Amino acid sequence: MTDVRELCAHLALDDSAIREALAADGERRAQEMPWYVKGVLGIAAWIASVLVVAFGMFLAASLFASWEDADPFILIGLVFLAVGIWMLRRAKSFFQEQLSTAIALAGIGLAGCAVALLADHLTVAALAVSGLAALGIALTRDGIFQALSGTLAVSFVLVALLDTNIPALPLWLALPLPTGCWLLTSPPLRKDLRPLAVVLLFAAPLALLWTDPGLGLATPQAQDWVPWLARLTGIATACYILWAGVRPARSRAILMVAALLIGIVLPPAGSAGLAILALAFVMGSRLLAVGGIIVTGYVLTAFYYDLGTTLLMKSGMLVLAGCVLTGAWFLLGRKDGAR
Amino acid sequence: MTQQLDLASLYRLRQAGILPAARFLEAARLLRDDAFWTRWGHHALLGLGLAHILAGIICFFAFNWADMPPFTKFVVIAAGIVLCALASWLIGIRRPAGEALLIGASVLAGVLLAVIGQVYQTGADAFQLFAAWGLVILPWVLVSRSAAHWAVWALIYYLAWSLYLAQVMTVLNPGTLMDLQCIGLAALVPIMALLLRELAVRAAMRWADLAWTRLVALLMACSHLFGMAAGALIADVGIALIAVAALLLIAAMGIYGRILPHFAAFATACAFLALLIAASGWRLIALGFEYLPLPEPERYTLLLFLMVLWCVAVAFVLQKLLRRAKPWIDEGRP
Repeated sequence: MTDVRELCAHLALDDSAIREALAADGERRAQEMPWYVKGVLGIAAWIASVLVVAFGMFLAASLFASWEDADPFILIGLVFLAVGIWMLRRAKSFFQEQLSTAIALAGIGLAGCAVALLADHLTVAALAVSGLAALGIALTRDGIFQALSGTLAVSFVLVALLDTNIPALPLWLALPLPTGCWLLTSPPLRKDLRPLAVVLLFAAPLALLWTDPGLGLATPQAQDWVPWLARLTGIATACYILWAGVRPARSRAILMVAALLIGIVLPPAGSAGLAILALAFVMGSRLLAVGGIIVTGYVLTAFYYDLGTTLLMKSGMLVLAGCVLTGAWFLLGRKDGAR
Repeated sequence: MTQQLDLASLYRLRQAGILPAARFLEAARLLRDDAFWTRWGHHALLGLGLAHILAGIICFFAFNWADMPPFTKFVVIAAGIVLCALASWLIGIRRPAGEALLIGASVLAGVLLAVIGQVYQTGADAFQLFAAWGLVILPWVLVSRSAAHWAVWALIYYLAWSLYLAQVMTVLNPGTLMDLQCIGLAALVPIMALLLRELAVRAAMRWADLAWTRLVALLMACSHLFGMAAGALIADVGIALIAVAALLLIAAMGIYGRILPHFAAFATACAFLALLIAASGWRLIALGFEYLPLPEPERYTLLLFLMVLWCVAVAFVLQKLLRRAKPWIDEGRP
């Protein structure tokens, strides 16, 4: 762990400016309630928000006297969004933050669904939801709202992409990965977009798993060059992170070659999981490491499950791969010990 | 004065415009605990390798399992138990690896009992298997002095007791009231486990003094009590059950607020009590509205409005209570 003085010495930064910026943050953190209390209050707020939304719907039904048309729901959705954002900007407690987040999200979802019904096209709805989510993110500073509205927008976009059934679908699904990576490694000025970046980072492997859970090479779609391009997107992202973040050059080269080889063997979602693990390793983020392990573990399970061979063959492959990995661990450990 | 930095503080510095984007990754690398992440990489590689080998062995047995004679099946599992127990003894049962191996032997003992039951169909109820399993592994649990091993043992008896209630009690006395009582009675095992845990800590058994042992047992007990009370509210039977659940939750609040001060445990009991109070209020509001002569949309609108008010009021009181109790309970901790 580095302290302020060491960081300033290494990067030639202003010591006093850093201390000033971190002082206010320290005070805020000291006053925060423990996570489990926040969890309890969050659950209470979300229950309350369900009732608020139901209340709003019934109020609108008694005003408009019709459940048939989609137009009033766009208006109701926008009202919910406006009220939610207004409350979120003024929220003073965690309960208020969660209540307003849930109301604003209900507004985005309601308006999006109404637009989808009205336009009879999911792409229009995805655009509307993405626009509203971007507006909400721009106007507020709450991390949970950012993550949830980002998830909502990404889900709408993915459903719209699946609905249109475009030929280069896996590539489109892989694109959020480098975007999320870029947002985490070169964060923008003033706005903390970490929650959105994490959503984008995990959207890629999950979407790829959803559309093609297995080996990838066995499906007719995989005969095309597109899944390979999706796979290469993950490998390139992992290699870039390792290139930019690992020193010395020898370790960097070994890790990049390993990422390339494993990425080629695994399905496209696997290379995305690999990129998340590389990012966790380089930035020292335990949260990303846990997420990366879950994604990669799931990809490996799906990979072996869908292999289309007998259990005996799978058993042989697993033991062989296990011996290679354990051997690599032994060799690396011995080398480190000697050093 | 030295001020330690973490990844979150780097993002804060970037937002403040102090740290340029181009140098962010470099700053993150400076902050990273190299030794930890190198160790993490080694452990991940070893874990992945061992998981592959283990999965390969499981696949091999799964492929041949159906064709194996019963005796071979017993020998394979028994060999696993012996190997695990022996390896645990050699490594030392107090060390994490030895502890994990002894727990593995206990789990395999259950698998052996299940396979015996599969080969010699005795027609016994499932709860008897779990009860026998718990009895067989009790000596290992006693010598292990491991909270995780005790938790596995408690889980086995929780399953045995829950299955007994579901397969025997509810069949002998069918009815909604009995179903609800069984949900509540299932809380007896976590409550007993909690009691044993507190006594063990009092008797200076330091291995039991882990916060998660208290919280997991309390969470299970509270969930059952709330489930029983919520069921009684929905089905409109056994109002006394709601009072029992509320009294037990208040008792838990008192114990972890004053006698054994622990804020997380206090907050858990508090949250379940608040949920019960909110649910009871909603039920009363809904009951009151059954007699209100109003047309449909207006009636539901008013009903939901009152429910929102009640929910916000309960949450507000809960928030205030937890905010006030935290410093007070933290001060009382030994």
